[in-house]
Amino acid sequence: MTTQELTAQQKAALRLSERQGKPANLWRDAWDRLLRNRASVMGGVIVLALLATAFLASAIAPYHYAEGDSFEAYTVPNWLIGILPGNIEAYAKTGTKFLFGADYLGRDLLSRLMYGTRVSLPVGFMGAITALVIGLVYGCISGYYGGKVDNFMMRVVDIMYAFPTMLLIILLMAFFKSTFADISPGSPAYTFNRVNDVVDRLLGLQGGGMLFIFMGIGVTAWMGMARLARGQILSLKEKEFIEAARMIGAGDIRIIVRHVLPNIIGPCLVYVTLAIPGYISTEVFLSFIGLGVDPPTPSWGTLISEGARSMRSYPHMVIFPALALSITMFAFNFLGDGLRDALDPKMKGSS
Amino acid sequence: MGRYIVRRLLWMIPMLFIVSVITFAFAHAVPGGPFNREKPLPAEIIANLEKYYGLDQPVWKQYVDWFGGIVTRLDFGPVYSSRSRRVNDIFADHLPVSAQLGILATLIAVGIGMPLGILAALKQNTFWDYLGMAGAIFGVSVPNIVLGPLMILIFALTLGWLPVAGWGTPAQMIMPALALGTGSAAVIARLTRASMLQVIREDYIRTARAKGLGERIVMVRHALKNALIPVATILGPMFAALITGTFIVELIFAIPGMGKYFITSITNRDYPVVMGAFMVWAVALILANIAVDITYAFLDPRIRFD
Repeated sequence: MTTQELTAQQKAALRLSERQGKPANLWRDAWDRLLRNRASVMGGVIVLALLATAFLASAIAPYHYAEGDSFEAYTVPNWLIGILPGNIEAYAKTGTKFLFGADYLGRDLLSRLMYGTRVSLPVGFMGAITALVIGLVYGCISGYYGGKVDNFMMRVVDIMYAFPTMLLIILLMAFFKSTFADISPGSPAYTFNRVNDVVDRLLGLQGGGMLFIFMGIGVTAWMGMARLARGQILSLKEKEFIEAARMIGAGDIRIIVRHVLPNIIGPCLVYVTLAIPGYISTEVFLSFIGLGVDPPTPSWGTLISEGARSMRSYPHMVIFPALALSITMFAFNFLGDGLRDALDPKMKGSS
Repeated sequence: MGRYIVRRLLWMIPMLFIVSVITFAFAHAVPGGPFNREKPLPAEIIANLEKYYGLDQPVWKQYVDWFGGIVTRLDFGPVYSSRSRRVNDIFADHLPVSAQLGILATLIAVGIGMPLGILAALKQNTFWDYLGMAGAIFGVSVPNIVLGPLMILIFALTLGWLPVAGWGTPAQMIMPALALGTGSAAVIARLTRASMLQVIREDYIRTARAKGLGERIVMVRHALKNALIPVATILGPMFAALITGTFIVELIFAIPGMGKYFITSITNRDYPVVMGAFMVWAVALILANIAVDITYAFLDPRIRFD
């Protein structure tokens, strides 16, 4: 125990002497620590690979996600036959044309998985951005001004917490889907649908209704962040350096942006990184029950739900999307854990 | 303490009122009525049906009738899609199943997560620690929407040990409860471990050892009790998430809980079922949060409420 601590100290001293002259910088230190954490580097690499897949899907996917040949339906890839239990050859079409096989309409599973990153990743990142922007602003105002403002704003959060999140999102999605089904030009719903089309096109999808999903998830994503930011600010605002800033005449906005935010952004970043898997799986669930993206846009949730339906006969249809989803979750969790250890070494190991 | 509990319970009333207003407004904002079928009914029949269910009344009157019915008679109203059953009947049939599943999953989460976390902390940096924490990161990362089909594939279809779906017998309950509880068990295990490790280094643990207390007493009476405070704070939200998050698992394992019913009710515009479900879960969520705050005070006497 003692020797371990000593060596750790020696290592730290060694590193300190190595970068003599360079000023200490929280973010560079954190970056160094992050790079030394193998699991989180791996997580980061996987996230980058997924991002690359999302950007390049139309170039690298062997087929288009909606392109199917009903003669190829349920094709099981040859290499998988030996691994899967049961005698699939007896009834299934096998072949080497599709690396991961084909779905019930004969669409290439690999291509659909690749295009699926254009649904899952944006949902994860938009959830994180909504949480950061709305939650952080909300929490900052509430915590910084305190008193009646704080009391009122936190009661609002309490009420939001009394809503069962999943039910609320389901209700919202049903509301969006039927409200904005109106396509008569000129109505607000029509305008909204055009915006949604633009979002879908920006994400490289032909339809899908991503804006609705962003909104549904955004409505419930910010509360946790608001509470976290408020708690952080409450403990910060009595500190001397805030008082000093106020003393020399800094305004509220300046104090919040220049003095408070840099001190609380670390924990908040960690929080959203670890929350991303939650947003992604919310969308997966919505698509699983048919309230997520509109077909034929491939969401991993749609793929899992289609696969689960014919799991007994064609297990390949559920295995690959399930794997893709799990790997993505692992990646974000590893990255988040690493970020936390890097940004706040005191918190190392806690969740 | 007593006054604090009473005050928190009283706070429930305005909160539930606001939840009910928002839910009602949203449910009624969804276009299309409950009697819009694919094959349209004659206008007279729709008018009669709406009169029968009071849907021809002004919206505020509908709200007062609905909320008044819940408050005064615990009556959640009619089910539009079935004349012979009321929302209360539906709840009586399906809610207990969801509740059972949620409670079982919570028991699994606590029963597996806590011992695992404590064990990992006591044997820090050994094989058991690494194994436990590898299991925990697996549990955190594999969502139940993946875990469910995976378990069916392995334990039901390939090995044939457990039934594929259904609810009622203990064998049918194992997989759904595990699928739902594993993620939370992993979170609890990681939190318990971190919190134990922090507490073990405190001065009062050294003091307790120094005055010659047995290791078991030091760990249980001094370390564990304090280490469980942060764990207790996440139990409430976790329990709430498990109780309301049973939908996914219910759909995967074809369990006759509220999940399927809630989703079909939304698509059928069967508002009373939807709104009732919101109210029931809101009560559960608020109570869970109050319970956590009370546990918190009980575990940490430094916390005072007044």
